[in-house]
Amino acid sequence: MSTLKNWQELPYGGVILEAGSAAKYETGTWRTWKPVTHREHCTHCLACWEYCPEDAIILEDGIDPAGAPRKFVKEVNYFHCKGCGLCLRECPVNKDGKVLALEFVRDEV
Amino acid sequence: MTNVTTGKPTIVPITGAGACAQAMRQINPDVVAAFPITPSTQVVEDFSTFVANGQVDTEFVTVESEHSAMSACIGASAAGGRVMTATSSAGMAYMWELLYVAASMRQPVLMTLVNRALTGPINIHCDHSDSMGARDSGWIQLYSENNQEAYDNLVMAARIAEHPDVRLPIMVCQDGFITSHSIQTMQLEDDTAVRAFVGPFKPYHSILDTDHPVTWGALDLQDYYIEHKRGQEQAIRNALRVIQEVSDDFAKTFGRQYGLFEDYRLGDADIVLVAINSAAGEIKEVIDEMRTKGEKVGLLKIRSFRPFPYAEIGKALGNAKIVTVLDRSASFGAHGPLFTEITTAVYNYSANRPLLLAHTFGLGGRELTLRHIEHIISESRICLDKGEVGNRQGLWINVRGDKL
Amino acid sequence: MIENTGKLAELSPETKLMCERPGTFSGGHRMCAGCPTGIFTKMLTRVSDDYEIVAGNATGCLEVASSIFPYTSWQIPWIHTAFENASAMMSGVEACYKSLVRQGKIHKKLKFVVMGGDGGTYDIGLQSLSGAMERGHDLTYICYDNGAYMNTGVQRSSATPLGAATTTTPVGSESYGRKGNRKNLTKIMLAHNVGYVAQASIHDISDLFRKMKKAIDHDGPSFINLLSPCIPGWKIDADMAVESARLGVDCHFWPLFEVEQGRFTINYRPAVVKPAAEWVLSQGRFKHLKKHPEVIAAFQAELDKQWSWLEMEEARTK
Repeated sequence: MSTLKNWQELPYGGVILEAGSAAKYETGTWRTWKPVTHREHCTHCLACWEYCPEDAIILEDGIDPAGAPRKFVKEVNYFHCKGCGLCLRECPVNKDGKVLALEFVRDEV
Repeated sequence: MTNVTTGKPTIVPITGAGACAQAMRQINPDVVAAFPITPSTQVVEDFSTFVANGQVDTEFVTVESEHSAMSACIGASAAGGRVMTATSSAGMAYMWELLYVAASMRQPVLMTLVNRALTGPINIHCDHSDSMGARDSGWIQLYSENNQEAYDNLVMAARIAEHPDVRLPIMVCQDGFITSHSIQTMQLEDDTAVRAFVGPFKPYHSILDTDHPVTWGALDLQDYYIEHKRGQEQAIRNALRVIQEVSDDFAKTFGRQYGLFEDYRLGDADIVLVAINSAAGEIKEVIDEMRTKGEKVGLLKIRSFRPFPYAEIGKALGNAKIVTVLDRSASFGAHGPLFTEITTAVYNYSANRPLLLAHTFGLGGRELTLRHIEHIISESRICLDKGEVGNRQGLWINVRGDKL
Repeated sequence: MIENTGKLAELSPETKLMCERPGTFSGGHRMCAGCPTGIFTKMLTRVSDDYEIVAGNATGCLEVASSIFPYTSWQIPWIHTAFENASAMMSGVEACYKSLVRQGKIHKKLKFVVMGGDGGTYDIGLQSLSGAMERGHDLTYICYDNGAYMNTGVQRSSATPLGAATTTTPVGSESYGRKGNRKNLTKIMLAHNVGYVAQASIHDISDLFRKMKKAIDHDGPSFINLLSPCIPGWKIDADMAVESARLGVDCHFWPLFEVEQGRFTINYRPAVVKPAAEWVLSQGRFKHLKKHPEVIAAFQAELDKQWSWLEMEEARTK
């Protein structure tokens, strides 16, 4: 998608045929601060995943102590993360100004 | 009128609007979305009875405005359906924004446009200000002299609009009241023959195809907008060829031959009138009359105004000595839209350079009588004899306070 | 090293369902950092396995930012044509679906969702919304209400709250911002006898999930008015959208309620109702109201009036 196409190569009417192609577009460069996960503190409540407007919280499959499968927070997708800080703000472990499961650090791009 | 499946064509007395409703019934679109407006109302009303009686498979969306009518048409077309509508005048003006969207999104919406004057002041009668204003919207425009042509054009419209090299919306135009409300006898083809001629609709990246999710109507910026527009331009250029191909196939199937325009006693004519829609019928009558008196006069009647067949028309006017163009709409501060196209065609493609005379007539349904046409022809003769059009250029016909 | 809490949180039933289902909306869109519209859009496909979603959008922030050719965030079929016509456009899509189902040309169960901001819904799109709701199409309309025309640079809409400064209701020697109270679109939708009408907020995911599911499940038109704060428009920090919405609900600016076949249910009653002033003065768009206590008082009075109306309706329709 880096080379621009000639008109003859385009499908009719401006239709985009590749669903979710925006995933290839980097918005991580917008960021000045970045959230960093500290899994040892994370309760995997998935609030950060629910609230992330960029869908930039990556989940992974795992097993809870009772042996049931569930999703765990894996990491942040820095290709898309714009560094808004919503995940930190809404992290219940981080409540009352504590920095536990998520930490905001200056992003040196 | 009930379902006419006789296995053979039927000669029926029917209005122009009724004829289009019959064509719609035979085409059996998946969706119709329309809002009634005089003088195209009968199209929608008749079609509603076909829906009410189960004669069509159509989902009829009784929208709250023409803006919504065209919006629903585009949505339904993007959802992979064959879609039709009908409107007039202010109704199409209200669709304006979406006319461009339909064309740019390459949705082959089929429209019956019953030409009516645009408001200012409000008027319900015929002129071509509605469709002429939409000439740059990207729609194919076919014009119809009489009820038969309106019907035939609509039957051909689906094949033209949906052709893979075209895929553009199309409007089939006829004159408000003059043909839409006048009963003429015409040939209604058999339902099955029409359906076979039209064929099934082939969706293009339907948004109902959830296995292949597509995005329609994305924001198009400096890096792609003009490439999409270039593709759209190619499509309507292709339509010139496709209109002729479909018309030839129509002639083979139903016996009536159409071209991109009609030439009537044109070959040896010194004076050629150019007109659109119903006025052509009267002009032909006057031509026959004046031919008996020895005046070499002919007519070029426009069928396809968009795309405009410049080369073909320029060639056809190559032997004329004066071409008098009758515009049924005004482009204030300029000559009429038909005149400017004819001028372009003649300048670039005619063997000789005839005099060109612009007239505007018939706004808001003002009549054009046989006497007016005779007068136009004799005035054209005077210009021709003088070798110049002089101050006759741009005159309006049958306006109190003016001479013509 | 910070102490490890060592606990694993219990997931809500809604979260459990959502995190297992396929997504709707990919990252890489160009909405402002912290804009919460991405929260509800990615939920669309996660509310149910019983059908697939086809979506339409009015022109607006969400539309332009999610689909810049050749990129699209949409992982479901999605269409946009213009600003004021999203409901009519999707009426056509839904009508075509009905027609094709009746003709046996399509067999899948599809549901149709329309999205628009308050500009495309309360104002320029109101007529087409009214038409679609009245005709009874199987559409769910989700209005993400941020209280102004944010896409064009924060001009007032009929959803702009009293006293808010916008670029067309700026504060000046003769102006304290937007005059008069906002339009109550939810009530207008109720007047259409729409089968399911709800107000939801971007901060309460479980409530929003439940409402989106109910709305989309419902056969026929349904409407959700969704409070969706705007970072630059409300002049709040990029991490504050969810907190701002929460406070808006806690002060009764945006009651969470639903109306099913005419029956009202208030879904959330704040344990302590916050004063409107707390919500208002937390946003830059209202900061000038510090000097206009009478406007804050009028703001509070309007919230109290709307809340009593809601309680009366709930009691009346029990």
